[in-house]
Amino acid sequence: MSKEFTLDLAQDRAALKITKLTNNGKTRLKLLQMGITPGTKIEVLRHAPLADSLVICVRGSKLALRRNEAKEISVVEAE
Amino acid sequence: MKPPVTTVAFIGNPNVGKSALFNAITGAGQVIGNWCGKTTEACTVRTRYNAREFDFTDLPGIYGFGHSSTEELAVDKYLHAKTPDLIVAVVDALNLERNLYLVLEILERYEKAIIVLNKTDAATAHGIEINLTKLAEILGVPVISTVATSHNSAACLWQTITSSQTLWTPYRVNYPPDIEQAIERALPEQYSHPGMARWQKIKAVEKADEEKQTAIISARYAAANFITACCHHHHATESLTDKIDYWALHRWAGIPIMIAVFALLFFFTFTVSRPLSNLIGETFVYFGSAVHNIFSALKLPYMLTSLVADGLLNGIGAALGFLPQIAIFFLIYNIIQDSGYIVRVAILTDRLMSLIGLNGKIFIPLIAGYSCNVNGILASRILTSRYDRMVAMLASSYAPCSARLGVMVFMASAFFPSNEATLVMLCLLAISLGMMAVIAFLTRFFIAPEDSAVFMTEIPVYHLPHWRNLLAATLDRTLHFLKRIRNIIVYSSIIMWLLSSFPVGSFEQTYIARIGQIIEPLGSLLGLNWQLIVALIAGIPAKESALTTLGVIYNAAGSDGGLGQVLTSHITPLAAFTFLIVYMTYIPCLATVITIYQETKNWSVAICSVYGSIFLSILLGILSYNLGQLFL
Ligand SMILES: Nc1nc2c(ncn2[C@@H]2O[C@H](COP(=O)(O)OP(=O)(O)OP(=O)(O)O)[C@@H](O)[C@H]2O)c(=O)[nH]1
Ligand SMILES: [Mg+2]
Repeated sequence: MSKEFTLDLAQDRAALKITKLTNNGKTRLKLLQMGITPGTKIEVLRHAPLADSLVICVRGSKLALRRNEAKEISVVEAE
Repeated sequence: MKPPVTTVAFIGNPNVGKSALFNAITGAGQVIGNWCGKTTEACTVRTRYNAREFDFTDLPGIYGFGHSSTEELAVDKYLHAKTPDLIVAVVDALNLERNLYLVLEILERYEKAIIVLNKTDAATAHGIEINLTKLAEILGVPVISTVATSHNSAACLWQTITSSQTLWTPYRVNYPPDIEQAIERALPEQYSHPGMARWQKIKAVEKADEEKQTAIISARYAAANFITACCHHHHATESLTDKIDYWALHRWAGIPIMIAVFALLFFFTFTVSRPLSNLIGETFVYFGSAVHNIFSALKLPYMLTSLVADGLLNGIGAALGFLPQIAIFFLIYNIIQDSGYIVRVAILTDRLMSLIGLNGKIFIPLIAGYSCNVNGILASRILTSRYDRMVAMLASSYAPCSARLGVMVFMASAFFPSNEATLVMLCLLAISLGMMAVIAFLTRFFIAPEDSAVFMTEIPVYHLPHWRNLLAATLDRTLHFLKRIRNIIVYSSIIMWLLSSFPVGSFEQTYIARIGQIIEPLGSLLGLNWQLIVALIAGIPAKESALTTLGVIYNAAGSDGGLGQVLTSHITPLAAFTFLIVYMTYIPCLATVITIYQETKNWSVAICSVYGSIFLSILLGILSYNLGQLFL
């Protein structure tokens, strides 16, 4: 099993698997509702300009999230 | 006996085409565009079909039933008031799995739901195939496919809605055993009746425990994933959207491209509209002299002639000259918006905006504010947090609108040679951005910004805007402007004419000159002469009137030559620059103030915005005048 890290540290084009969400309340619910559930495979498409947000592909749709939102998502490299 | 009205509600994720479908079936004019969160409140329209009556309701887009956003609260409020007889669950064929999550939650609660698979044209183009029969079989409710933007989308939906032989056996999600046990046991006080529905028990478990909530949502997604695997096939190709986004969201090129897009927007607006504006202006001058000739041939009193020609025609002509600018600006702006680029703009500017504590989406109302402040305020509905929305509303009245920009461009080009004029305009735009930051800062003293405001947005695929929507949206804005001419500018031109024509005699004796002399002391603080101050006052009801007024005053004073020439000989460049600064910031026009009230339902906000901006603009004016004197 590879090492766990937070999504904001991921490289462009990385294929990852979500392990857990470390936030709570509304933000957590929104992430879950949008399909960011533990065990889901995601792909980091790219870091947007000035590297404050990143674009990911989850369950076939593209989402943009801020770096501080990505900090609360733990991932591992998908094998 | 009259059959009862059937209520039908449209529910679905944001940006799936609910409003487009709603418009197709009811003929209503809900706003549609390619970004998430356009519809912000429930909208109900009654329609007849085969002698039966239906109440259709368009709802805001949601990702699930919870309380994580204002959209969800709005939907919850509607569904809580009265359970609709039928749910139309609109699903985006491009994002089947994510959309199915909401569908499963709908089926958990409601027996009667029809699934409408929308955007099937775009899905086919992206290499996506979905087996409808299979999907209907698994979900246990009718499934149809539509293209909401085509003209025959309503027929198929009508048929399904009115069909009577439907069997409703909605799909049920299986939860893990420990969750099922918790659901069995759930009996919170607020629903302490024993016959509590299963979905209410599930919600209660979700609310009580975050771990269980995660497990419940994961189970629904696992089901959505399973269903998708059964009936969805994707021939992966690199789409056009990916190719465009490679550049549009490029780490270095993204922002320059965005600036270029907006520069082009303004450039086109100004270059294409200028000849048209001139044409309109000349036509009115021609009308004016024709009226002079005809009226004197008819021996009508001179005062009447002057009222019609110098007052009314002059004023309306000056305002109508802006019409091409507004129409063309909106046409291009709507293309940028409906193509989906606007979402990328929000992503690109989020960093900049978050530096001053704002959400990137705030850029959208601010940009809209550059065309007309009223639009900016209406566009701030897309913001969900109260603080962001308030800032967007207050700040968008500092964006120089096209009426103000028109006057500013005119004055700048009259006073300064063209490269200096460009610099002056850029300076002014930078100052307006600075003012927005100040507003954001000041608002923080009244409303606490919510940290939890989630930025995360879905990125829709690009599409070619539909010409019918484009024309409708552009026409709507243009008509709005024409109505303002009828409602405000006609009267303000008559008033200016009256003030500058009476009492008859020398110009120094007219009312307007007397008013001007009274406020001259304030003007001297800013280095402005009274003519300029009167023009500022005349611009309060509608910004367009300021230029008309300068024309009336200086021409009435008996000078001749074009307005630009007259102005240069009477006003110093420093005074002109100060005038422009004050003019850009001093007061939102009446329509803006009224819209702020309508959107906030709070007069004190509207009044504060007026006093605040007068105060800030005088401050800026004094600063500019004194600094200017130091350096020039
Ligand atoms: N290609 C294609 N585009 C569509 C179709 N239906 C809607 N659209 C486009 O999808 C976008 C969103 O449509 P809306 O009707 O505003 O979506 P909505 O679900 O009401 O969105 P919100 O109110 O933001 O939740 C618009 O740009 C429409 O032109 C369709 O069947 N095919
Ligand atoms: Mg809508």
